[in-house]
Amino acid sequence: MRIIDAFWEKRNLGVNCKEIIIENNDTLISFSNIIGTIESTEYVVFKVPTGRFDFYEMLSKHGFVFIEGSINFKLNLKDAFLSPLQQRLNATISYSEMGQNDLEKLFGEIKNGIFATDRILLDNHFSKEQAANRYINWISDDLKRTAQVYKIIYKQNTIGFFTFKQTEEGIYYPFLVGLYKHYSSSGLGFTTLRKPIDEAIKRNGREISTYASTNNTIVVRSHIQQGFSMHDIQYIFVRHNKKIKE
Amino acid sequence: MNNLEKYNTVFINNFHITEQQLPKMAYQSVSAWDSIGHMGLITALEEAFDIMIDTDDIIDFSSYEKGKQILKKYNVAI
Repeated sequence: MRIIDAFWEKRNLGVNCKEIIIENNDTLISFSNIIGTIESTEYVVFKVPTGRFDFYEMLSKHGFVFIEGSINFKLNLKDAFLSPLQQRLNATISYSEMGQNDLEKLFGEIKNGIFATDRILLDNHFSKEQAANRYINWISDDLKRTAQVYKIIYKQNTIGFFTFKQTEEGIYYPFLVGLYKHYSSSGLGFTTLRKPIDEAIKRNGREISTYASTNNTIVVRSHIQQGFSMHDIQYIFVRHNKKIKE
Repeated sequence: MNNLEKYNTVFINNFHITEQQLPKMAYQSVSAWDSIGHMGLITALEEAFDIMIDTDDIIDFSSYEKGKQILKKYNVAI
């Protein structure tokens, strides 16, 4: 079991938060040891591997609710697939690294709600403004480290974006991608997965490793269609406690 | 099979819907019409009518009725 003090959620969501990651060898004894931590934290997030009904039952008894499955998708770049039509369209669409104006436009799109299946947005304890700020802070923080943000362009118009960072030698993680609202019904959503693949190939990478929520079946289908395989799933449970005085 | 029958058949086969659903069909009106379903629809229409649809028209192809207007540009009268 790993307990992460998710201090960044204080700024993003206004609550103190602990993320507790259950590992395969954990037992319910480890759960009983952290009851105090759970009770003294405003927002508790549990990430549990598949097949751990003992934990699912215990979490339910302690007032946790299931909010999403988080699928880890991996793609060996040699297995990347596009249909002939997608190849034709992909050739008409380019991408380039964002400047400050592009970032401001992106943040406007995020505030406008391009992430409709986000677990924070779906949670009625939080507002859509909090969900948007969390994404904006996430991108801003990672840009200060090693990540890049790219815009996806069709006929000089930005239709979407992707983030990009290297997690290990040759392995890339596009931690957030999305299509801008005006293009949400264009059928071009596949490019938000494909352009990071193109960038990873350009950098002589070997693999993309990324995550998709089970609440977003369209994105799950898109990953499978483009050759990704499911590597792992974690089930996410959350619990809200009353505001705790610090 | 006339053009309307061909057009309808593409929709019915691609999205597993009934003929009664056709008039109200629009992007994301059924779960099968997502970005992957959209690619399948365009591919099937190109094959059925032996045409190549421009990217702008693929983007604009937002409903069953809109598609009829777009195909006119490719000399496919429905």
